[in-house]
Amino acid sequence: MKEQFHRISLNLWEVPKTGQMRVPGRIYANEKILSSIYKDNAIQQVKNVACLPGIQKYSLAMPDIHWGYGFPIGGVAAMDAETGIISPGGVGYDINCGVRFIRTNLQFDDIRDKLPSLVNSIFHDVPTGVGSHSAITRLSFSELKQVLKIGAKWSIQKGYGKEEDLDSIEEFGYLKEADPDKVSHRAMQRGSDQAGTLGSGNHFIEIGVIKDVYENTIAEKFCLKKDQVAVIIHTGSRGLGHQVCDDYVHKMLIESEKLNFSLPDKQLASAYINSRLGRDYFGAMACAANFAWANRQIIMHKVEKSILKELRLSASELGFELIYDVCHNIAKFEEYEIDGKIKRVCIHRKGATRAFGPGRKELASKFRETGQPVIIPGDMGTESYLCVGTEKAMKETFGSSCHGAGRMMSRHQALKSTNINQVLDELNKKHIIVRAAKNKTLVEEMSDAYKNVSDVVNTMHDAGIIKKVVRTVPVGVIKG
Amino acid sequence: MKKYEIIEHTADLSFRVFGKTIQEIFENGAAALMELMFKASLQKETKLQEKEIRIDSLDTATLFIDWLREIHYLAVVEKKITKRIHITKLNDKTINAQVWTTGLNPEDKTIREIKAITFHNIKIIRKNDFMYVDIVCDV
Repeated sequence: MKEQFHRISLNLWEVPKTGQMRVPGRIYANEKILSSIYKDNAIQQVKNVACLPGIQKYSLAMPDIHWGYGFPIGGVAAMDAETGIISPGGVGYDINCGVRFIRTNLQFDDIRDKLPSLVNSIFHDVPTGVGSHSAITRLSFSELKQVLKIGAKWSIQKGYGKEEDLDSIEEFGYLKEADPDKVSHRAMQRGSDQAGTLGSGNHFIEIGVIKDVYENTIAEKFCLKKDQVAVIIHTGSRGLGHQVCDDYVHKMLIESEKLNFSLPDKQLASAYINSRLGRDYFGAMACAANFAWANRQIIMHKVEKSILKELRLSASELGFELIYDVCHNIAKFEEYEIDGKIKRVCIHRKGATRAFGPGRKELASKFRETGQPVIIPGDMGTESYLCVGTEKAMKETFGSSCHGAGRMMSRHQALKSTNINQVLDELNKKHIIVRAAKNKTLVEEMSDAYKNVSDVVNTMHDAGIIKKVVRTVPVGVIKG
Repeated sequence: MKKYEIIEHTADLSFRVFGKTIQEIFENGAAALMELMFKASLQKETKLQEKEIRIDSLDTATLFIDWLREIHYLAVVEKKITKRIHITKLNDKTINAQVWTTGLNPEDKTIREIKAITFHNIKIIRKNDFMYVDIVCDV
């Protein structure tokens, strides 16, 4: 298989243009990761994406790439904003699934003895698991429309967090193109009682401790140091986002006969960005993205309240401060230099994180010198990384990087290969306290089901796309 | 012949539905979806509600996914678990069916959360005396 690729540099491989591909594919991987990529259909999906109209330069794959549906997970594609397409399959069902990283003033010794009750308290205060609901009062449709319009800003207006949090959220917590009239009744139904809930699957809240600091100057700017306690929250737009994606894949498929190209996979159903349907999808997708930002903002506030209550601290003693919130399933309009000209593109990141380097105007002033924080969590038993984007990312990857470890074993296979006692034993040996809505989720999410996140992060670090700032290890995990 | 089997998929859930006819594929697909999502105890008869479903679509494979999307929507949003199906009309682009559902709370009985049914590589494969279709679900 490897012989079908050209090696461009140490960790970068090119998939040559063949058949209907309009551009080549490019995969970031070291030798070890590359061998695991062959095992499923992800490379074919990189090629399929390369066939879509308007794609610029390359169909990109990050080192956490694995088989998705339509786009591979870990896929990035930039479409010409004038002539290209937009595809819900290039964003995914969990629109604006994302991660936020929060610092505290606490050292690990401050929480060591209270960790079990702290984990229990957060598990109790944040609804988790299948169909979790009622974190806050069920929203009327008119109130929900406000959430869809202004995202995290709505949460802050309702008292969930501080105004300055917005500077530390990608897009400052909401996409202004959101158009709630393009969101179906079904999607509204699914979202009305899910704001502030974690959900199930790979979503989590993690209490971690900083073990390594790689970039002292940047870590100091972010007020991060060794042995400090941090919190990571991973969730998305819940049922509302799923329904938006579902609605628009269907609509675009029904209208696909009007397109002047054939779809390599029905899940890549697309519309031209400048068509009515393309604009409608973007307006609805932006709503779901905003819902996700509102969701993570409410959860962060609930986690802070839980910690304050359990440790009997004041807010200033705890120092719960959002470092950054990134989305990793999204389509957005951004500008890049392509063939010597500044071009506006609709960038699709599916299982990939924005990783803007220093100087970008889209960043709050406090990040213009450091570059944008990039959060890359591992699985529940291993480390996570806070990194920053680089100028090289702007040139090579449309300002994008990996989003996590990336699965390499199916959930079905995970359930066959181990059991809950073994998984709990493993976590126990690492002194990680875990609470989950279902034991089955813990087995499906076992560490062996994932690639080694350090391999993934180091691939991008060594390629110069991101710079590692700190590494955290989990000590308490809440799973859906 | 078995109605369905789980097939490996790295990130999500995939299953293969078998049938001797297209109608059996539609019936077995819906039954498989409910079995994969909810506990077997739900198979016991309880008070059932009847509902008419009518879907028009692009072609048979797309119609099949649209049918599963509807059964899925009934379960996750309306909290109605489909237990019996009677297909009254089925052709390449249209299905009319009566379904009978129970109103049990799915959260209490869920064994596997399926968040969406995808159209990924959807294709009905016809062999000599049977046919099958592979479905990928977002979980």
